[in-house]
Amino acid sequence: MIRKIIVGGLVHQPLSTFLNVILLAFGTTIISLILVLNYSYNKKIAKDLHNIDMVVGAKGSPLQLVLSAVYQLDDPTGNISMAEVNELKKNRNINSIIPLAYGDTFKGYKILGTEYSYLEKYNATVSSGRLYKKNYEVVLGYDVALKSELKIGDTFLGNHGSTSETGAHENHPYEIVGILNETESVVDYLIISNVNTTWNIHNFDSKKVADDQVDNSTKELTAVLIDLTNPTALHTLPRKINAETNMQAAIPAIEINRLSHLTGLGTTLLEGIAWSIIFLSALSVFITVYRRVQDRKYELAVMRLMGATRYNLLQIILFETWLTTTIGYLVGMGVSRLGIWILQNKIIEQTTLTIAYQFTPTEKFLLPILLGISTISVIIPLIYVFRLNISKILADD
Amino acid sequence: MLRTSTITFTYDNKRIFNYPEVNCNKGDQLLIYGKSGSGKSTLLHLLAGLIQPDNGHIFIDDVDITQLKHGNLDQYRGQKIGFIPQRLHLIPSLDVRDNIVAACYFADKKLDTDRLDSISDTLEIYHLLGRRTKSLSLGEQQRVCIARAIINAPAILFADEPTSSLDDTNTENVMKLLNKACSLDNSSLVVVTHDIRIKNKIDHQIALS
Repeated sequence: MIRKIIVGGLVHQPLSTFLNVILLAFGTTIISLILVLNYSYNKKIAKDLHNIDMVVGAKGSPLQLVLSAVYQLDDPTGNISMAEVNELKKNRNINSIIPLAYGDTFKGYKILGTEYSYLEKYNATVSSGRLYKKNYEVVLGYDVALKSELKIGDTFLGNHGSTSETGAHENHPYEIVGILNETESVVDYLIISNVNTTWNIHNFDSKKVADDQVDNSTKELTAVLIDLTNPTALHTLPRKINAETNMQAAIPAIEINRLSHLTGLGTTLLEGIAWSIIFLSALSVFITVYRRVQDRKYELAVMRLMGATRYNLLQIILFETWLTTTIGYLVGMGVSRLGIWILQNKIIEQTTLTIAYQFTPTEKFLLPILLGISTISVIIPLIYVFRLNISKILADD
Repeated sequence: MLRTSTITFTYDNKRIFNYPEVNCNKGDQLLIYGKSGSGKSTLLHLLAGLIQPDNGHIFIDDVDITQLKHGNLDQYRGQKIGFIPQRLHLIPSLDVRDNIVAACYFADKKLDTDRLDSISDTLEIYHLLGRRTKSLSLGEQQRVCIARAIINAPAILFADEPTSSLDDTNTENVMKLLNKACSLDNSSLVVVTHDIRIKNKIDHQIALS
């Protein structure tokens, strides 16, 4: 019976119920999207960073160097000579160096020349086929394989630069020999070969030299990812590299912190707007419920005549509010997931950011928070109902 | 069944009503008669436990309802008292059947479907049970309100101005219905009115001035 009264009460006032649900859903959608994007962004930042202590590349913006070398999100700052990298390898503070050489793309996906250690770093394993062994053999990241519709045995031509308008290396097609498992990291969005492939393809085009006949003096890398043996070297080594070589050293953790600080301001602003919408929703719930209990005072008085206690009436008003809030929350979460799907599949299809559909840790608290806010917003109507003077209401009518 | 000592009540901190003793035995009927402003509806609310008197006691089935705590009084009212308010208000979001059944729910009594059928037959509302309340005529609403008031087999039925807005024919019908309703469980009936037309329908009367 109580269920019929509660649901009936909401259905009987469809417009005010609809308005409350829409406002709550709107606020929930925005907060949920912000939380999900923030969570996915932070998760990706952490995952892609994966024990990379330092990045060394050409001089320029350190943030650009980190974004391009670690996250594949920006153009490189330039190239560094292999000779200088070899000098760097002699430093006893350096545990390992992973070379990165790129300049070509295929359908927007970067083709990266590197060593197996890069794949090991991100725990990338082959799901079908095998790893590259020879020049021009490549493996596809999980997302590339999924969206490019390429398969093992296919060949394709890479485009010089980051767009397809800058010309293809027509004499040297890449051959796909393997596809990688999903790593939920930047590897999923890369086409990976050995470093020699990158060197050969560019020297072949520019100087017309035979394969594997690349002049050692022309060998260049885009950047190197460095693991240090001793964390204290982070304080001295970058300074030394920046001062004494033609290269630039950047510490990803510092650069990403700086970036997060900048984007964090925007996120805080958006969160503020979303909570303002929730506050407006709570105000709307208050006004609607207050008006509704006044309109229904005779109905509530009649319930008391039938034997309903004050607590029965409070229960009805509270459950109506909680049901409205829960419906608003569910609609909001549904729209938020639809929004994620649209963002993921239609808008940011080729970025390296994977947005999670599952509940983020903070989202799990969203419903209790909304229920708490809506409960606070109906305290005054609840007091009104608790103090309802049945005799006066019946007499006034 | 129903008895009171002399009870007093201060209305809005302005007016003090001193009511005479009220007695009504099981199955008896009592008419409380008076002009507007004589405090007859207030007396009915006192007898139904909707408000507390300043002084005096009200006994229904030997239970002093002035001594009952809020929750107990609400439950006692639901189980022992039927009340037909002047304005025939039904819960608009529920159909006719649920409007009647709600009285069982709030009184914490199990619904006796045979009794519901019997009452519906007696009051000729059986065909209305599935209908929405807004589609009912005034007469139909009155019968549903009576059914709601007697579904829990109350010991006493209070009716506040049950005929004030009705024509002579319907006044006659309503009084017959109230008699019928009370005869089902041998309930006592207390009617408060200023309607002179029903003055001769009930022998036992209290006049308020």
